[in-house]
Amino acid sequence: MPRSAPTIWRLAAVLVSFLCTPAGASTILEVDTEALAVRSERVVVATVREQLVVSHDSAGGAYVETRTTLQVESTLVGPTSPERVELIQTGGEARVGGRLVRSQVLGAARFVVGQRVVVFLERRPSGDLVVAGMAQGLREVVSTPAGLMVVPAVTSELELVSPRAGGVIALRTPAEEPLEELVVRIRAAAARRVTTPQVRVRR
Amino acid sequence: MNRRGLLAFGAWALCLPCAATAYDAPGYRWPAAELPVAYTVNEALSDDTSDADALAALQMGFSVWNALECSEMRWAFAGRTRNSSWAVADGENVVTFSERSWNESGLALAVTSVFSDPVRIYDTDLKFNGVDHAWTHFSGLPASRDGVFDIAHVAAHEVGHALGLDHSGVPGSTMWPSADSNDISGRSLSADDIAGACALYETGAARPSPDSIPEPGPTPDPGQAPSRVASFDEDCTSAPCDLGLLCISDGTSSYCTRRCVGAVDCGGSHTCTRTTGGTDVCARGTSPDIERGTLGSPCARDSPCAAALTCVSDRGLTFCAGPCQDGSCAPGFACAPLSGGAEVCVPDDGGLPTLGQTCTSEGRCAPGLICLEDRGVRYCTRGCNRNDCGPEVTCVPIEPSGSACRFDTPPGRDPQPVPDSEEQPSGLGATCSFEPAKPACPTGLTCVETLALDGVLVDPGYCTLPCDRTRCCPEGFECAVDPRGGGKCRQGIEGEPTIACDASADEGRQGQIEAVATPNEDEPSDPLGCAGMPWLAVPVALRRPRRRKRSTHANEQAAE
Repeated sequence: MPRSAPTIWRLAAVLVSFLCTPAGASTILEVDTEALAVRSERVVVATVREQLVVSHDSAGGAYVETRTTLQVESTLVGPTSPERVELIQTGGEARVGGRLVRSQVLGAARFVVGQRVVVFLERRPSGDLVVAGMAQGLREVVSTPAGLMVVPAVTSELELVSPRAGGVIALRTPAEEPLEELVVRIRAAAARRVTTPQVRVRR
Repeated sequence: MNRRGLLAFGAWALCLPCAATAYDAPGYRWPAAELPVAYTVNEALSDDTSDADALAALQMGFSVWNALECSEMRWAFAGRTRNSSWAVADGENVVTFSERSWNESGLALAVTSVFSDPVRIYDTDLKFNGVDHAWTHFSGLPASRDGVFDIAHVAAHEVGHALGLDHSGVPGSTMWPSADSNDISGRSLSADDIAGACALYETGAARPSPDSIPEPGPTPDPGQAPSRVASFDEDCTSAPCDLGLLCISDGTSSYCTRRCVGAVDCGGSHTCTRTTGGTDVCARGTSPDIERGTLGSPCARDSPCAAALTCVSDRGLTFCAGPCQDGSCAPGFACAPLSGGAEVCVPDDGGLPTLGQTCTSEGRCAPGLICLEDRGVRYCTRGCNRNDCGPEVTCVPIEPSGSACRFDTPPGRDPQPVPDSEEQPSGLGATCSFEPAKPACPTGLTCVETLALDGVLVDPGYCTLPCDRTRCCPEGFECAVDPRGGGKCRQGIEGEPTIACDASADEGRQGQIEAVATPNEDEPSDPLGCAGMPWLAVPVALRRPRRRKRSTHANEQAAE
């Protein structure tokens, strides 16, 4: 798909509407925190510093992507550098050819500037870093009187698929988890990674 | 509130309508002027299955939404394409398989992109991950092949989103946000999926029952006319209705009919009747049942079953059951004998654990049920849309969304002990109701209501505890005979049979699976033989084993 030179738009007021994108879904394997940690090349606690929406418009059609810059505070799994990570995700909201275009990849992790997050990152064969498990791989850190807590991933736009037939459904439980406990779980899971070969499901 | 807090509040407030309970729609849709929406399929599909199978499966994912006469949404297959673009607003809605490179998370099976404004969708693309996952087109019931995914199921779910639907909170529906690896349930729509699609693209036609919608085949090529159309009063499950006619369902059959206005004569065999969708149509019979509960669907006081069906309660969960005709039932259902001698068609468990039974070790249950982990016990139950689970069962939220019926006492566990009379629980005997807006019982107590044949409440609900010969009621209460077995602690029951309590008696209790039937008031058949009763209190227990093979049943009948 040929693309013209990118036009860069600062994400500002449109951020709210992008945050509250109408729900939809992509279909993805359901994984727990430990499995995500094992799968991830890097897991970091970071702050979302900046977001840019880049649009391309050509005879072939419009394409929009969002570039998110994370400032790493601490690395839980994987290499400790670089301290700034840029993620490129398809989708975003921009004015293309004079009209507002909203492109969504349903179920993608959605960042908010200023947000403190735990992010699970996996590297694709192309070399790109992506959020592991789409929205499952993004957990927001919030400050509460009880300390720093991590809220569950927002998976309302994902069709979660159990990797095996059958499957047990749990009653909904309250959701916040102390950051310290999550860090311990992630590090413990990653430590087991060396002895746990990753199983591919391809026939 | 600081600016960030204000922003967060604004985002939250804007998101409120997006919260999914039952079917939900985010508010945008394809414009009517652009229907049918054309889609193309890339010329290269999955490496794991034949091109013909993959194409047929993809088309099935679209066609399942085309079979609804109550929805004007139509997808039209526009042929194969070399276009492999994804998330590009190029005016072509493309389905692709990525078999060489995949730049999303490897966990993703398929991703959908949507271009939209607040009320209008104008481009969507769907991409399957063939790099990290294996795909198939299950020809029938799935074999247990972990890690292989059904193209049609995933496509149907994604296409549901592509037409503007959000996730459903009803487990088992196509739009429920969870599935397992060989799930094919998305090939057929649930009542909730139908309600969602028909609300977004309403035509005014009645919403069909899920059972009346045949499994779709591939979408016809553009311009290909259907081979046959159904006329007035003809079956419309296998052929579309003729121009100007609507396909409606009365719970037992689906047929073509026309709109009517007021007292316009529909003919001697039809009556002008308003559907729940608000459209006046000519419906069969003099007192038509349109859109009443169909076979297997939940029923309650305010949602009775269609004619010829019976509202059966099995362990407190209520659903519409039909009479067995010579031992045979519709596909997916099997005859279950009642203690009164009659038989009804209940959802066939397929040999898998059914309602209230322990799930298999893989967490599998009979079709339509889910495996719920609850207080350390895993058992099969069904989803619920509100508090329609019945007595001693509560509708509770589950992960990742939606609700399911939770037994107040997990199967296999002993019920909560009845407290001593000195420890009479607060709320015992208080008025209660299953209506969500009315008071429920405190924890530990059960709300009991009695319904008449026509669904009218004849006995106000009250909070109670189970009792029997060995479990006595608190002081001031008597153990009234529960028509479904055992007893219920109650006050002021003069003239009604009671159970004398003898705490010293040592009679083991057995877990009971019971059913109470509530035949419809205008039901022509009466499998339970209680049609003339002024109110319902007839205990009719399903005999175990509940499941009976059709062929075996026929043989037994012949032998008799």
